[in-house]
Parts: sequence; C-alpha cells; structure tokens
Amino acid sequence: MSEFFVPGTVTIAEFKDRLKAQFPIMEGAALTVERHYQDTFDWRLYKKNYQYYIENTLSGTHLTLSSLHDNRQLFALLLSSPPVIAGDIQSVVLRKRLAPLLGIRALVNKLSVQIRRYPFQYIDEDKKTRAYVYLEDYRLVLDNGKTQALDKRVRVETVKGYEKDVKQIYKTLKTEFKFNKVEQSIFKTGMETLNIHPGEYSSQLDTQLAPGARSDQSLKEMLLASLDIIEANEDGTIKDIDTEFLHDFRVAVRRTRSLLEQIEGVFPRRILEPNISAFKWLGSITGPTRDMDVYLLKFDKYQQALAKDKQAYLEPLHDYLIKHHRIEQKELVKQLKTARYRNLKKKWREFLQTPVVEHTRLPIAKQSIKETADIHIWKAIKRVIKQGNAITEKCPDEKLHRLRLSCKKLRYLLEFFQSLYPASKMKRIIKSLKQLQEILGDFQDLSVQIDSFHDMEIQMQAEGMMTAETFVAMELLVDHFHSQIKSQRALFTDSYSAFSTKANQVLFKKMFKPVKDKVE
Amino acid sequence: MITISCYNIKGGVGKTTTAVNLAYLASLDGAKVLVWDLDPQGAASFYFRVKPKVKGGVRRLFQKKSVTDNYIKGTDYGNIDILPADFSYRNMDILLEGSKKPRSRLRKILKSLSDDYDYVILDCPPSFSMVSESIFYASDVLLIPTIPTPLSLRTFEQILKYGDKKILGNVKLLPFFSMVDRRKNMHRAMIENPPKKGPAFLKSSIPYASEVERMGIKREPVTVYAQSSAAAQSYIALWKEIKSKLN
Ligand SMILES: Nc1ncnc2c1ncn2[C@@H]1O[C@H](COP(=O)(O)OP(=O)(O)O)[C@@H](O)[C@H]1O
Ligand SMILES: [Mg+2]
Repeated sequence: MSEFFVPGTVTIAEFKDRLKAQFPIMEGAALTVERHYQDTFDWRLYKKNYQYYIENTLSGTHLTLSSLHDNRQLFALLLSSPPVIAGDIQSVVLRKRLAPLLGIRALVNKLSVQIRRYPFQYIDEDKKTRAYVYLEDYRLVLDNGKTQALDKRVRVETVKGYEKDVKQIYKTLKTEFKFNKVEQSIFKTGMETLNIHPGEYSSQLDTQLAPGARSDQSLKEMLLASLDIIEANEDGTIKDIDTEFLHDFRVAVRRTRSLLEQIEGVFPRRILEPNISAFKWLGSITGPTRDMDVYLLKFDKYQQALAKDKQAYLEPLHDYLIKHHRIEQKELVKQLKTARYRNLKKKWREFLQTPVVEHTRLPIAKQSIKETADIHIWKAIKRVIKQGNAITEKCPDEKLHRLRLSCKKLRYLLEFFQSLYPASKMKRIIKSLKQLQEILGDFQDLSVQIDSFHDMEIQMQAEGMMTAETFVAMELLVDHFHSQIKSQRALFTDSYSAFSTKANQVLFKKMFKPVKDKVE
Repeated sequence: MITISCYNIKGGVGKTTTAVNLAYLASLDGAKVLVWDLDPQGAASFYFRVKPKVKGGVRRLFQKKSVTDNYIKGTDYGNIDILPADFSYRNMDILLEGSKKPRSRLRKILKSLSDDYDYVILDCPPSFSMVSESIFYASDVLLIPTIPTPLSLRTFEQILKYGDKKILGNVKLLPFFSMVDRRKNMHRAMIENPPKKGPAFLKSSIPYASEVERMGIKREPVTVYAQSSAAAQSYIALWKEIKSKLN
C-alpha cells in the first residue's frame, strides 16, 4: 500500500478522467467513512511499532494492521463487528497476531478521521480487480464532533499476487500525474496536528530523582506521579473498559499508602494521618470489583482444572461472578463520583504541588532523598531476610503471609526509588524479588480462594443460583486449591534461596546499607 | 487452521461449487480463507476470475518448502485468497509417486500457511490416486457431495472402503446430498433413507437450482448475487452444520 499527496489544484473529475485514460478502471460510488485508529490505553501496539485502524461500512468492519514506520499494510480482515479485546476475535489467525500484543487490554479509539472516498478498481480482462485506487479527502474528527481538514491523498492498495500491476500505477502517478509519495501515515499526521503524544502513558513510575535533592521535595514529585496514574485510570475504571484500569489505579493507591506509612519525619502528621486513611478507603472501595475481575480472569483456568465432562457445571459460577461484578462496579462508580473522592484528590494534589519551605522542623524533610531511600530500603530488606530465614516447612501460614506483606513494602520502595540506583542492578533485584512475590502471592491467592469459594457457595445458594452439580464442581476446585497450596510451599524454598543468596546479600549491603550503619 | 477438502471420485457432483460457496461463507464469519484449486481444469480459479497458472508449475511448487506469496493471489473478496490451478497439476500424481514421502507432501506445504489462514478449502480433482491420498492426509474434513442416485452411492461406498485400508487416516468424513431434485422420486427416496453404513449424511442438502448454474456466467458465489434464493440459503445452512461438526 502506498499513498500520494494530491495537490490542492487537482479536482476529482480531472483525476478520474486522467486515471481512466491510463488504465482499465471501474468506478465505485463515492462514500463517507469514519476511520478509527485504535490502540490499548497504554499504547501497546504503538510501542511495538504497529498502527491499527477499523472502518465500519455496510459490509462490516474492515480492520487493518500496518507498520508504523513505513505505513506498510501487514494484515487486513473484514469482520462482522469490531473486536474490543483479543478474546472477541473469531479468526484464529488474527487472534494469534493480536493477543500477544494486547494482552488483556481493550482497544480504544485514539484518533478518528472522516474520509470522503472515491473508489476505483483497476480491472483486467476477466473483470478481476488487480488493484484499488482511492482518492481520499481526510478530515480530522475533533473532540467537539467538528472536523478539520487534514490531507487529500491517493491511496493505492495492492492485491496479493498482482504487485506488478500496482508498480505501473505508482509509476504513472509519479511521472505522469506528478504526485509525490507520502511515507507519513495519516495517523502520525493527525497525532501531530492534535498534539497527542502516543506512547506517553505508563503505569510505571519513571520520574527521575536527583540523589542530592531534599526528601520532601522528591517524595512530593513521586507521589504526584502516582496521583497522575490514579487520575489517568479513573475514566477507564468508571467505564469498565478493561480490567487493567482498575488494577493500575489500585497499584498506585497502594503504593502511595505504603510509602506514607513507611516514611516518617518527612511530612507533618496532620497530613499523613488523614491521607493514609483516605488511601485506605480508596483501597477498600475498589477491592470488591477487583476480586470479581480476578475470579473472572481466572475462570478459564478453573474450568480447565476440572475434567472435561464437569466443565459445564461451573457455568452458574460464571453467571454469579458476572452478576456480582455488575453490582460491585456500580457501587464503585458511585463512590468515585462522591465529593469525598473529589476532595481527597484535590487536597492531595494541592499539598503535593505546594513548594517545600526552607525552614522545617521535620527531622527528615531536608535529608537527601538518596539517604532516606537507603535507610528505608535497607530496613525493609533486613525485615524480609529475617522473616524469610524464619520460615520452616512446618511453620504456620501466617508467617508466609507476613513475609508477603514485607516483600510488598520492599517492592514499592524499590520501584519508587529505582532512579537513584544503577538501573541494571535494580532490574535484577526487582526481578528476583518479583519471583519470590509471585510464589507468595499465589500461595495467598489460593488460601483466599478457598475461603471465598465457601462464601460464594453459600451466597449462590441464597440467591438461588446453585445446583448440586455446580456445588460438586466448586468443591472439586477447593480440593484442587488445597493440593496446590502444598506444592506452592515447596516452591517457596527455592525462590527464597534464589533471592537471599550470599551474592545478593552482598549486593544489597553495597547498594543500600546507609553510610551511618556502615561505620558502626 | 482447518483444512476442508471437497472430494469425490466422481466429477460433476458439485465439489467446486461447494468449495467456492463455502469459502465465501467462511469469509463472512471474519475468517481468513485460502482456496487451493487442485483440479487442473481450474474451475474454482475461473469462478474467482484468477488465471489458472502457477509459475514454474507443480514441480516448482513442490520443490519449495513453503508456499510463498508468489503463488497465492488475492481474490475480489478481501478475506479470500486462492492458490490457482495449473495445467501441470495433471502431472501431480506422477510427481508424487516419484517423491520420497508422497502422502505427507500436501500436508507439509499447507503447514507453512498455518499462521496465515483460518480455513484452507481444497477443491479436489475427481479421481482416486496418490494425489487423493495426499489430500486425505492433509485434511481435517472430507466433504463429500453426493447426488442421491444409486450410482453415486456406489462411489460413496468405494470411498468408505479406502477407510478400511487406513488410507483415510483421521480425516472426518462429512457426506451430504448435492444437486437434489425433489421432483425425482429416486432423489426423494434416497434422501429419506440415506445409507446406514458409514458416516451419517449431513442434514443439510443442496437443491438442484438454476441459480447455481448461473455461477458460470456471474463468476461469483451464489450467495453474492442471489442471497435469498433457496440454493444460497441451503449453502448457509450447510456451512452452519459443518461448523457445528468442527468442534
Ligand atoms: N446445486 C446445483 N444445482 C444446479 N447445478 C449445479 C448445482 N451444483 C453444481 N451445479 C452445476 O453442475 C456442474 C458441475 O458442478 P461442479 O461444482 O463443477 O462439480 P465438480 O466440481 O464436482 O465437478 C456445474 O456446471 C455447476 O454449475
Ligand atoms: Mg470441480
């Protein structure tokens, strides 16, 4: 596929006549279509150098995946309706292409253009179409619904196996029509015009901290970045576009709260206390919906854990989860529309945006952020090692639970202060901590699921959604969770050893042990 | 990728017509479809208005490990591509007989396309030969259009006999009645009492209809130009039934 600029002086009638004079052309009816460039909220396609658009016409949804840098078409398909998540896609071929890119994220509109299209088909003696030539007038669709002129282009679409014919058309457009080829896609042009920076959103904190900066100043910056993430995910959470909005929202909430709880002496107590409880509240109002999300995401796995002939027994559980997801989501939206939530954000932002004052009686406020980070990370590491070493084969589950919480605290600190340390070493440490956390997390999830399955059984019964078969299937799953818990504990030892190796401990010490401690 | 072959030892039973119409119906489901016109007569290629020509012929095609874009042509339907027929396909049998693993030849070629297509529909030549064996081995489903006459049923039984010889392998046999003329007593009787031996005939059948014959003039699937006709509707029902048998 190639595109050419059409100079403003060229009229449609003129173009048509000249094209017909050169090639056997069949003319289609002119039409207006809207093209929607889509990507996930966090630009997963863009980041992998793809652009993706859909056009809805009478014959269905035309979907096109192309390369971002040279606008080359990679895949096109006509569907009966536009897919939202990879799971919606019927075509295995397309799903296999998109699923690894999209993950569990939904496709959302990023840019829309309105196209006035004059279609022409280059046909051969059998009336077979060998190429499509489109004269197109592109207009950008603005937020207020109005449109703005963008470009007039000729787009030539190749039919597989007839590349030679297309080359001839290119040549004529270039030498006879004197049209210039454009490499830049309409998507890029549109993005530039609207001043949208694709790829900008990330759920990771990537704020760069200066090691010598004041602790209060640096923490405010980081917390502000977290607040931005919370707000960026608010709309998608309310609209329930996909489960990642709420997930990222919650991570940013928990990270904020964890930091406020861990670091003392930087912010005044009258700020800390109400905000810790505010973020705790945010965690609690988002929890139930997230739980339902998690069970729904796991549902396929639940089914697969059962024998083939019992898999259908689980359907009532799916109905139950969908029903309660809807209920919880409604409640969550209600909460996110309260004045309490609005004020919380407003006040928090005001505080974070207020410049730090020169004189302060807070003991740690003016300490360098590097020093503060060292102290807290070191403390958190020591706690993890101490608790980890105390885990034995027979110790109560409670100990693993506590270790999991300590690991989480450490993880938030490491991620918050990542930019203060050598990137590659941090990456390695976070990776091995992550592996340990996954084991502990799975362990925790399993025990939570055992409890919540029992709760749900009772609840389903009460709501008349339970059948004898479903009950049997759910109990089988509970047995399955119990046996998994055992194997999970066995895995713990290995992943903990991998995290707490001699080499790692030396590295931790070198990287985080505060100077003061070192002298002792 | 699911490979469906329209096969019968007999010619003129509706194999090509079925292949072309089912390819179109599959494409309406939003699936990417490849039709491989294996019959040197090139009827499927004709319906899709594609020249029955493969550069270098079957010999070149077989030498390659994979089917490259050079051979495949896009049709006028965005979701359907075709690997056209070639006159040299009439030598396919001899070529296969002389090669090392003749049976797995087609399967191997198709495997190279498995990431590109949801369905491959093979329009097979009417014969029983090494080519057919290779087709059976490459297919998930063997669709067998059968005209409801005693003679046609005899050929159907012949196909079943190959099954006994393990030549059919794991391929799923889906026979159905094609070109059914309800005015003919014999047709009606056959449909009402399909053969008890072997795999069951599909419930859907395709009536004998002049709209279908018009495909030769229209060079389009019947569903495109006569969507509400009984013939088009019966193909829609047939495709639905086939899909229900796929999983
Ligand atoms: N259902 C039908 N009604 C009427 N004519 C049909 C029908 N199916 C096929 N035909 C016609 O019969 C002839 C043979 O059909 P075709 O599909 O080419 O058979 P095959 O591929 O088995 O040789 C063609 O001319 C075709 O148009
Ligand atoms: Mg034929």
